[in-house]
Amino acid sequence: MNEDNKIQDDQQQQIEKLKKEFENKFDDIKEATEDDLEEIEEKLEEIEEELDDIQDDLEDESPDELFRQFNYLLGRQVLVITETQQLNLFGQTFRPIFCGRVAEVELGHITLTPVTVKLLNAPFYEFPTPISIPFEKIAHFTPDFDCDTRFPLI
Amino acid sequence: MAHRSNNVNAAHDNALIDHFFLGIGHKVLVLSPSYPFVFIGEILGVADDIVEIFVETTHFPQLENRSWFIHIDNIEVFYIEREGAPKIPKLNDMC
Repeated sequence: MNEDNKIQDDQQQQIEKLKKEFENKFDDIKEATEDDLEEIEEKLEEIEEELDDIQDDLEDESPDELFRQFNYLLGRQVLVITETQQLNLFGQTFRPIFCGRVAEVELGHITLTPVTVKLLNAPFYEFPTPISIPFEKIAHFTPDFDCDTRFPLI
Repeated sequence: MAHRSNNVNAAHDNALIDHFFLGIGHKVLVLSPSYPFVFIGEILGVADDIVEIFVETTHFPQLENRSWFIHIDNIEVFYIEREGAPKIPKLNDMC
């Protein structure tokens, strides 16, 4: 009987010991993982900062003035006139005068939406789709223009 | 200085060609100062600075439902339809 009790006690003690060991190890691993995670997060932040710097440099040093200007004007209204004398939309001729919000700036063009065109009998005709304008077709533009402004089309 | 500005113009042109290349398979609307002024259809391909569009809608039905090869330099403004963006309406809704 006594023998049995002793064995049970021994087993109990061993279990306790193992439990403690396990808990210690678990804590160690947890700590290590947390440390790793912190390190990784720090590194990620560093990389993101570097990326931001590179992007800033790119924008600052880009020789492309139009690209830079329009990036600066993203979300704002501009009045853009392109080179041709006139355009024709299913029989209606109109001057290539576009007024709208700069929605997208890419390396070769901008996209305005919503955008109005100056049709002769409808000077504030809202075009049914966004309009993309190649940089190389832009004759001139003026930033922060109120598209509700009335002006003669000659 | 002139040299540099040439580079910028060429970079714009190349970027625009790339943009049309990425638009292959999408519907496009093109306004051109040259007759017949409007082209609407699917972009079939891009080679050098020429875009091939299967034109479903233009000013005159005789010129529709055929491939047109359009010099990208001569495109005044355009719109390439994309997922989640406004659709190009049918001819009758345009004006």
